[in-house]
Amino acid sequence: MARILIAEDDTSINMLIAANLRLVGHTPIQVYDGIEAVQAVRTQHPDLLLLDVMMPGLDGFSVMEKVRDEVPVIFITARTGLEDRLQGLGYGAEDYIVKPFEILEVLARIENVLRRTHKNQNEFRIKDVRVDLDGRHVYLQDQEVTLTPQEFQLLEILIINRNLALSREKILETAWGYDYEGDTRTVDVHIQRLRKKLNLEQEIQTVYKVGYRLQTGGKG
Amino acid sequence: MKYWQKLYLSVLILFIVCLGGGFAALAQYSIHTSYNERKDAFLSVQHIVAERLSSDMTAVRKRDPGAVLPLLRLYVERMRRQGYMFWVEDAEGNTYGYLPMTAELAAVRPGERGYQVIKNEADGHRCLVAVTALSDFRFGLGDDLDAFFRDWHRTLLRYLILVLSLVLLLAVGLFFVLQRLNRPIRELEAEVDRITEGAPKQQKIQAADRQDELGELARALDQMETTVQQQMQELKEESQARQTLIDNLGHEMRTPLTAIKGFAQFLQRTEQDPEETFKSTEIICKESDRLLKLSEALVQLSVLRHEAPKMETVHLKDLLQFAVDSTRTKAEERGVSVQLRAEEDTVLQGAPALLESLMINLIDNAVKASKPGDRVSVTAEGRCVRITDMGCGMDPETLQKIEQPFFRADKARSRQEGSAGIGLALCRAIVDAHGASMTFQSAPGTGTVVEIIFYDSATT
Repeated sequence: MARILIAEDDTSINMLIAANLRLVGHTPIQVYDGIEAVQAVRTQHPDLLLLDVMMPGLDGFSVMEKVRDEVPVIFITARTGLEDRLQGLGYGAEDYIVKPFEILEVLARIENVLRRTHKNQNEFRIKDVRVDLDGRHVYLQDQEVTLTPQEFQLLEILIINRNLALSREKILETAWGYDYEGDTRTVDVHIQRLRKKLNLEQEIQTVYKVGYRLQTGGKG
Repeated sequence: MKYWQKLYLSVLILFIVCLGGGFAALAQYSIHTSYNERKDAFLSVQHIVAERLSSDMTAVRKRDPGAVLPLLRLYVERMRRQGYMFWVEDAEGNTYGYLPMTAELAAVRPGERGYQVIKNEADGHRCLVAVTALSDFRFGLGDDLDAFFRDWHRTLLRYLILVLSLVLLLAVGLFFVLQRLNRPIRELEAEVDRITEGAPKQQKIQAADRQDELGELARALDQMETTVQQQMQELKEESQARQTLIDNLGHEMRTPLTAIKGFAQFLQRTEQDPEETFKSTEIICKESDRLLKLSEALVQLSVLRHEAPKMETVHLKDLLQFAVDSTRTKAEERGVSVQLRAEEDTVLQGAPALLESLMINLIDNAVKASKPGDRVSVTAEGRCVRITDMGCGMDPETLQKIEQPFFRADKARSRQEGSAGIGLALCRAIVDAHGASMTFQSAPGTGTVVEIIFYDSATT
């Protein structure tokens, strides 16, 4: 799993990101100012840096200049000014996130960057199921299970956002594409098939009034 | 049409009407007079000639009737020499000489005289003709008026030329005079255009040196521009400040809201142990408090900016005692002691709630800047209050910015303590509302002194 450095001076936001990263299996490292951030990059070699732009000590852009060759960076900014965004990407940042953000969006962007830098997880195991995420194969008790592309897409989303409940709409949007004209029942049907095929009746949970969640039991 | 053109045309028309009318009236009067004179002279000549002719005729007829014709010839000759036409008609209807005639004149009764202006069929000239009927013959005399009228027309033409040249002279003169008089108006017009376009002032308005109304107008315009520019500048600054405040406010609200929403979703979407649930809800509560504090401070700030607070009599010593008591618990938690020294009691005019909030805020800041074991002292001497800490202090650059809304000398620390970020901006507004002064003295490592002085006229 990826080690992700969070450089954010606001304690609450820092804790929020850390809690969610931990949930989906990443290892967060929390720092609260720019100088600490540079030190942490040098000593702990994280796979990704989430970098707040406005920080005491050393601001995000200055940190970026120092560590740009050592770690991929996603900027977090409260300012919606266009200059910031351009400058952020111009400095070689992988992406940027504007506050207030949706945590699912943050996780999706982190996953994208990790995939680009090949720091993402290739293999995921739960109970008797083994998923080869890069090869797109699924094995139950070492026997390959045939999944439709849609089913695999659904499984992948559940794995990336594990321990987090996803709404049916969110699943539909992510797995079938934004324009898909199906109703949310489609999701229920696919979830049922997935549970049956992989024998994950307990693990793929229905969360009251929210949606579905892949519960991994322990964290990570 | 431009104003000067209107003026020009009006004066010109008025002049032409007056002058032309005057000359026409004069000409009318003059022709009338000279015609009358001429007529009177002619009629008296005709009368004399008639009488003389009558007596001559009577005498000649008695002496020698054959001499009548030579007598008439003599008269004709004499009259022609005087420029008159001569005509006689005897009882038998024989005429001698020639006159243009009308029916009325032919019908003049004996002993009477008639006269008329008649057009002579022979040469087209107008003649004044007078006929007198005597006992046995009629006698008429004619005056050719052609030369008189021709003279008169020549005079009239001269008058016309005179009037026209006067009009021309006036037209040219007036044009130049009005052009000259119009120059300051054009200058003012150009100035107004410039101001409208918002172009910068290039040179002094020359018309401003004038002593007349245009000078006054120019000076007023100048004054107006200065005032308008000042107001524009103030407005611009104010709107800039407001924009900055709103931008910062948006930023300040976004951060706690992100945390609140994030943790609410976290609670909704995940399975946590009680410890995690507590931590999440704790953060939600803390961030909500921060927003509440911010909104309260904003409301206070806004109220202060729009209306003057109600002033009451305030005992400074009691007020400071209350503020120190209110902050003591928090200070002791940090291991900081707060001491109050106020010997005499000073009475002020002020809003008690606002002054309390001011003092508590400042003492609170001093406590936050202090290390455990430090002391914060609050002293009052007359109308001067000093709050001194031994804390970290600030550099001059920071000191300049601390009163700006949402500026934080130490962002991470002050956020963690739930500060709204507009405490000092609020303090400044309170101090201003009381007409008091607030100054900071600070250097890194040596602590900070805040000095507030209330002036005698502590009401605004």
